[in-house]
Amino acid sequence: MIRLLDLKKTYRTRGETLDALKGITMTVPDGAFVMLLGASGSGKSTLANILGLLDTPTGGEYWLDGAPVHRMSAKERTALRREKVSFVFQSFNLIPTMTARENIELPLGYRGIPKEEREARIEAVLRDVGLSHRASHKPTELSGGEQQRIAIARALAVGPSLLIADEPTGNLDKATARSIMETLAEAGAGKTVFMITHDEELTGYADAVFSLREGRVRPGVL
Amino acid sequence: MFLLQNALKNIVRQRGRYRVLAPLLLVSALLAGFLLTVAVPCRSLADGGGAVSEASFDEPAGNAAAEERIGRARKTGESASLLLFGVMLVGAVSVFYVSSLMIGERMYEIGILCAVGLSRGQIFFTMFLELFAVSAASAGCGLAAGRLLGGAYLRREAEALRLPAEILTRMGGGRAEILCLLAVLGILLIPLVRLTVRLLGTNPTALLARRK
Repeated sequence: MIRLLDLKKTYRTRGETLDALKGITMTVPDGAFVMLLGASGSGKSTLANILGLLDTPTGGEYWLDGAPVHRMSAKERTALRREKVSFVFQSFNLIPTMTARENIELPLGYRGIPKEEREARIEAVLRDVGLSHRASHKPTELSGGEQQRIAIARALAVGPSLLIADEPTGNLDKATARSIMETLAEAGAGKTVFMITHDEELTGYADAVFSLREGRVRPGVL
Repeated sequence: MFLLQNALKNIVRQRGRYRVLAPLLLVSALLAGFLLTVAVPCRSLADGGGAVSEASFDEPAGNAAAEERIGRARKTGESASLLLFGVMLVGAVSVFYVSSLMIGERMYEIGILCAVGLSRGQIFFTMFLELFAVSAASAGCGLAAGRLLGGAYLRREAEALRLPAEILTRMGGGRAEILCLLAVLGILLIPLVRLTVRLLGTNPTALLARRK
């Protein structure tokens, strides 16, 4: 479960201050698919980075599965991120010199998961995203939609409890975006999915929708 | 184990990235190996130290021809030492520069590694193992070739100057070559340590934004 209490983020540069998040309070239950809508510069990526433990708030509280993230050291946050959080990005971020299988295997191998289990997990997630037949292809040999499916498979293979998807359909056409949303909803079932988008047409896939405007969150589409 | 396997596979996957560093190290090590092999015995002979000395010549001490030959050996030894210093310096600066550039080019990939959950230590060791394997192989081959060439040159010089056969048993190297390798490794560590320090407090998404 995610609990945010009066969460704030202020950037200070050369004497100027910018309040990116102005006191956000919200709760996301386990297994929910939450969508956050917002225009460019509304602070939604800042919030995603904080939820994904890549960035720290400057005020307020962030509790992830009962752990007080706002009180953690950088090392503790990294350990928690490795254990619980995975990301899907707008630009896929697959390593171009590796095949789809190797990209999925990478985080598993570095987590010390034995080879047999790695193989089983790779097969399972590839099946879930419908790309078992493309496992030995490199990202440049895959379409945008296929690359994003491999990125989703990589994110799910490590068994995260929280999946942060930052504009996962931003680089895709409408038909492919819908198919990615279906993959995300089906393969991510049972996990907490926090998705950022500016596309209001995709809100039908979410259990709850929030909007972020000028650093403040409101329920629903504004 | 996975870390080691992945680092070695990365060398093959990213072989294009090593097209500058590997030949650079090979040539530097070849020159260093050659000069080390030549410099040490020539200086030893000229300084009259060790097993090879003026007394080893078949002419009596003070003989003008022997003096001339010792002078030539001294000159060769001094030139080789000076050149060796230059090669080491240019090689070290080049290796530092090229490895820093290589790491800089890979910041996007490093951002992906951070985002998928690798720790700074894992990223450091992956990069180190890659650079170490490429450097050790290139420098090792270069040193071996340089030593062979240096030995051949020394044999020719020994014959031309009618130097004693003991000179060939005092060919430079051994400890000095190991020191050379360690120096190269030390230089490779600098950009890697800088990278690790830089990753401290860096948001991986900032690295991902470096995609070309």
